[in-house]
Amino acid sequence: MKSIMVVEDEELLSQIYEDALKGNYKVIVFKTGKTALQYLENNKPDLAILDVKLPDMSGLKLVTEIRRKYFILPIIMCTAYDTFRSDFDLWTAKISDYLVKPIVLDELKKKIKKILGE
Amino acid sequence: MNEQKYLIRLKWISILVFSFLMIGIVFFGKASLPYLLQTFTPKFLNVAYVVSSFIISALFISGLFSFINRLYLKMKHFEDELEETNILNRKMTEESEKKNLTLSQKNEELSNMHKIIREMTQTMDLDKILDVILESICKYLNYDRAIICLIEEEKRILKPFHNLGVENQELLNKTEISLSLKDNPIVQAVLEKKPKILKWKEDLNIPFSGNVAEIKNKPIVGVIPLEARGNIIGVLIVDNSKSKQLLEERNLRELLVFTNQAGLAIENARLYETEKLFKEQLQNQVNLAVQKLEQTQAQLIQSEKLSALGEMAAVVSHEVRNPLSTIRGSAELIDETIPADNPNKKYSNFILQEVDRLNRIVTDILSFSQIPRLILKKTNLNDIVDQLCSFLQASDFVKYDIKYFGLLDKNLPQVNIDVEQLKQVILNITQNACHFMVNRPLRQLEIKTYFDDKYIYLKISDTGAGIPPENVGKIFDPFFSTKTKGTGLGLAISRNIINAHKGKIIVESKLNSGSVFTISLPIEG
Repeated sequence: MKSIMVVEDEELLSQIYEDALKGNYKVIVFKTGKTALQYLENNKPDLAILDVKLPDMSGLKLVTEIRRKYFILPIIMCTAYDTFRSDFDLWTAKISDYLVKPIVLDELKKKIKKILGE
Repeated sequence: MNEQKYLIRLKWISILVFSFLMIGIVFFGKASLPYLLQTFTPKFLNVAYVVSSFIISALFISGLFSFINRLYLKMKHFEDELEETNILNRKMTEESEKKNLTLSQKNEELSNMHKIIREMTQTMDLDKILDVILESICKYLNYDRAIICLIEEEKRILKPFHNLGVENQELLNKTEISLSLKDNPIVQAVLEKKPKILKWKEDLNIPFSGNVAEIKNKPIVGVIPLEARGNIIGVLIVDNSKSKQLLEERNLRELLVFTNQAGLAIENARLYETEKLFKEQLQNQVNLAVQKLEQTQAQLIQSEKLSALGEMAAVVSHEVRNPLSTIRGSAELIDETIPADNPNKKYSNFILQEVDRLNRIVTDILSFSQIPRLILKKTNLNDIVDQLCSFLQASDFVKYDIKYFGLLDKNLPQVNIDVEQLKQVILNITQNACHFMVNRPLRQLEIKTYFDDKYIYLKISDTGAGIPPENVGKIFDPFFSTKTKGTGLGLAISRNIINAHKGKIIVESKLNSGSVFTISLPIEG
């Protein structure tokens, strides 16, 4: 089973992610960027879902930190703003895809499947 | 008169003297008669008496006449002298009258000059000054026509600028004398800075509609260069083509005194006009700058407002969208567990629909509060319209039973636009149109594209309810809406997007017959 790392500080929302995805994937949830980076020291999840705004750092900063160690990890960024509007924005941010909140779970699942090649 | 008086006096004196003499002789004769009678016979005595009386009388008379003659000659001489003095006196009187006349003429000339100069200096308007100059020349100095030509430095030509008495204005306006024509006597006068009296010739280039033969080769044209601060600025041409009165040096002198003043007046007026123009330009520039400043200030206030609103919207949207995500996720998860035939299914759908509605409101506020960030791409607007209308054909057009007409210009050039944002604009307008055509007898939507040299145009016309005239000016205002379910931000956002494209969006509407939105976008984006 492929594993998905979710970094989301909203307790309820992270539960929603977990419940929506746990049937098909192993879901590991973190509330801060720091704990997520610590996890990545020894683990290699197949995909990461990051919130763009975290209590200890921004989602984009977290991406930069992740890319230092783990370049090929596919990342889906969840944002409350229209931060990303083009492929260029995604390339600049070094992420695979993005979703604008409120997240439509069907859409999230489709994107994950597409990225993981399922 | 005196002569006669003398003569009468002389006549009486001689008669008196002659009488005395006669009396004396008679008395002397009578007294000496006894002595004489003793010596001579009475006959001899009578004869001697008569003879001696004659001799004495003749002597007296001759003496008297010589005296009278002398007196007469003297008188004659005095008379001649008197005559001469009289003639001299008459001559002097005549001369003095002549001098008086000249003086009064000079006085009149001076007073005319004074009037002209006063009239010239009383105005600073160039046209008015030239009017005054020419009128004064014709009125006070008695010329038939007067033309002021000024030098156009750029073209090096003399161009008639103002005239009086010239009948053929059209011909005069076409006339121009090149300063390179050195043989032209007018040009010569200008170049030599010398006033000249010219004989009328056709090659002078002065229009004349009368009989040329009558004035040909007659010195009736005066040319006086107009000088101002040492520079020749033009020339004054005067003529007596109607009265045919010949010009003299004296006329030129009169004009010269006056043209010096005229040149200065023209130069002053020109300077004044330049200064006035400069002042006006400066004022315009100041006004423009003030206007720009006000605009900038308004924009600044607006952008500050927007920035504050943007910050607030960003915070709010984050704070709202996170719980919305949870609500939507939860509803989706619940919805999955509810079988399709369960009556509770519609409630989970209600939650999902309302979350989406809330999200649209947040999205609208966020879009409105941010300056649109454009991702420009060379695109054919027709493709966007086609794409959107295929989507609408399957949704809104069917839902509201709307007949769609697409009149898209196949030659429409590609323009640099943000496809997604333009889609949003067209969608906003078409969905509004669909909304306002509900329950209308005629439900037609027409989208037309066309272009000119600078812009491409997109015209969306509907047969909806139309906009009341009092609302036409408000529809692009944020939060203005007549729909029950609307944030009132759709058209405000649309306008922001079109403005960010350096385009324009305008609306024309007729109540109860429909509205037309026209978007223009620059081809050279």
